[in-house]
Amino acid sequence: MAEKRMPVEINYDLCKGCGLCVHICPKNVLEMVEDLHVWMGTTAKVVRPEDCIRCKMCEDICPDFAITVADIGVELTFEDSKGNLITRSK
Amino acid sequence: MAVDYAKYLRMDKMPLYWCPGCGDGIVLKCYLEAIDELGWSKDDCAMVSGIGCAARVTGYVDFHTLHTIHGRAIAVAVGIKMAHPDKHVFVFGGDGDLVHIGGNHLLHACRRNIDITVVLINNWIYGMTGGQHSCTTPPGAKASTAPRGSYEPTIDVCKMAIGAGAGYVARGFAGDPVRLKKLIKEGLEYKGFALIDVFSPCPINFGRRNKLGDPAKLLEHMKSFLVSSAKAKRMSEEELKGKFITGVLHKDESKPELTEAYKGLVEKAQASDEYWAKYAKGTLTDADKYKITREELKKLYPYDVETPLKEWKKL
Amino acid sequence: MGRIAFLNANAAVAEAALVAGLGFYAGYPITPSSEVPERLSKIMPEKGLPFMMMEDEIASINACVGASASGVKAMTCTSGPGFSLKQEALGMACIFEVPLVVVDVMRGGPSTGLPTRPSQQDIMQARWGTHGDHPIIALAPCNAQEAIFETIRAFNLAEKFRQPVVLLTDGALSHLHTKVYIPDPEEVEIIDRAQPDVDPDNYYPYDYNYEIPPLAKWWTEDGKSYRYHLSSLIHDKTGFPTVDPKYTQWLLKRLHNKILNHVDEITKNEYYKMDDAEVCIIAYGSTAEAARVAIDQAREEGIKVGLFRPLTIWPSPEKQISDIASKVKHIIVAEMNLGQYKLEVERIVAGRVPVYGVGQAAGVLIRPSQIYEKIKDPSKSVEICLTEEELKRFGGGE
Repeated sequence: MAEKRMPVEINYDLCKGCGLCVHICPKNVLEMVEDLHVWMGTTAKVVRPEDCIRCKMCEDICPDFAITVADIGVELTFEDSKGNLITRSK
Repeated sequence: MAVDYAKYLRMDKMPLYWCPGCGDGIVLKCYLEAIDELGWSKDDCAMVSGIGCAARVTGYVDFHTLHTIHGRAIAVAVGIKMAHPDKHVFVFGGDGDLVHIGGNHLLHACRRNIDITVVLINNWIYGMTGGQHSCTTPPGAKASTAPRGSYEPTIDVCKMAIGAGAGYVARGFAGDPVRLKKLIKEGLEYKGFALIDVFSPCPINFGRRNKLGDPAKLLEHMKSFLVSSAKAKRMSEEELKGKFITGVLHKDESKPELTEAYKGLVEKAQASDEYWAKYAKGTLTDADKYKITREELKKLYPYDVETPLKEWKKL
Repeated sequence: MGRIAFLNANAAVAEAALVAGLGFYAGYPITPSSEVPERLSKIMPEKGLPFMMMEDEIASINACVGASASGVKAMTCTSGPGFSLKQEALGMACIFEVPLVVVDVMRGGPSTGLPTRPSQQDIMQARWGTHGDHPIIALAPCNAQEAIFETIRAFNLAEKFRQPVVLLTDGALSHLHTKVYIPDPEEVEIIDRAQPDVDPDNYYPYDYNYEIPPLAKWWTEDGKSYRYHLSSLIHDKTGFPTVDPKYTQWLLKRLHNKILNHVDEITKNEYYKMDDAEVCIIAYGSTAEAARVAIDQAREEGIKVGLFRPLTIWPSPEKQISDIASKVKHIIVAEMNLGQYKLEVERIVAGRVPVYGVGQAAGVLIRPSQIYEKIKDPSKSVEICLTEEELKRFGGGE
């Protein structure tokens, strides 16, 4: 049974809202979002998880170890941007 | 196979203290990934750093770490490496720390080709002290001590290191982490002095003064200075002016490594029948020694003062 | 069962360092201390130990601090100008609290000064050379044989108190060849740094409940590996930077009390004919030899004079000097500088008795006759110096 989590996850305690991951993502999966509860006031957020191709460029570029991306081939179930449940392994 | 960074980090010291968008964290991650792939145990690794933003790395990695004084990290690392030749010794530092004030130690560590891996985080600025210009600030770029743009020429650290005789010299870019990790890994494996000059964005102290406050914009600006070594071969001298070549710039497998050369010297010395050589080999005989009497020693040392000799505390 | 040799104090320091268990040496050539690295470069490879000639004095003391922090006994040797360059790293060694022996073969100063001539002008630099409140131990042997014993003691004090120790010899003493006895390592008491009894995971380099926290070797003989962080900033018990004011004051006081609570154990003095002395000469290093001769001469004429010789310059032996001040009529401090340790003696004596000085920084040893004249007439200035007429002839004429 597929695991229930996002292909790319952001640790809001570590993210400093620098925007490098948003800039580098080839599929425009992430966006900067204002959020008063977060450390720096702005944070990156996963908005279009269905487009994620798990290339890990966001995880590599993140200076604060705040992003973890699932490996290719791991079956995951998650909600896409329009709210319906999908299962992907890539 | 995601790398478990927590294994190498002192998690209780997180989150990292660097500014948003600073490249130091990226370089540290590539570094830990390289060590993870090499399978080195953190018990065998020692890391030294001087003073500066990049020098705060030693606080986060779970190795034997020393946070020394400004500019002298490489000298401290040479001391550790010579005392423990079989251990891995790394140095992290910024362009101000290792090239500007510590240039002399970098120069001679290159000449000696001692097996130390130096990751030089080149953010073109003295970041921690508020953004003063350093020896790598591009001409015309503004800094807190160059309000009308830096007028000084800069230094190509890699050319200097190759000239001084470093065995492995490479240049990487924090905006290109995958290739940077390969360069660092190759540097770690190289038996001799490895210098990796990493261009790393400093959006807060450099970027904001040069309308590049957005880390992404500064990343692209830095990329414009860089040319891959493959492309550089096809470019003319004129086009390469002001550009910096990335990739492995120099690798010399034949150059002897300092601690190996020193082992040869020790073998030569221990082959002799000098006192300390025989002492080390345990072949000292009573003939080599002299049995002194208390009176004779009293003549040599007639003072009413204690001696460290167990036999004669007071002469 | 040791060895007899005909050595100068420099070579004696080198041999004694190996007896004391030296594990790493990094130095830089400077007159008049170059015989130490020269001899070490021959005998250290014999014993299989690393020896380095670094690119400058700053690099040499930093390499020593690195080697010492990682677990071996380290020493570096220099003279005046090099000692000035080494001050910042000496401060780092104080805040790291790593054992280290720094040998300063004092030569005429200031600046390049008199490279081949002896002096004792670095006394205050040994104490306050590096910035900030820091503890320091400084020893001063008076001849080559004592240089051997004091080098061994310097290593023992450094290891025991986790503290850099400065060994102050001088240009003349270091080039005077004499017959010396070099003991064997088994013959002398050698102290190694106390190792922690906790295992690596809950080891703290600056543990709060120790006055002198044990400094773990990074790689112990039995294969354990103590990974910890040493920082040159003010740090907490884990070695990480902190700016907490209360803690900072506590740390600096602990660093100082580490020495001041054990002054009796660290200081070592010689009383020479002091039992019934009415006049006391305080001298150290090679000047004490001249004082001894002058005292014998004065004693023959019935003058009750004696020598008090501190072997440990810093921390200064306050109790002993203060006790002498309550017994004698006046004190004469003889030293090859313009009166540096005299200030310390005056501070301790606090005006109870007059303190006179033989302060000759001329780059030549103080002669016994000079001290003898000073004993006879304390208010007379005995130092050799250019007089008014000589100055005129020397070049000051119209």
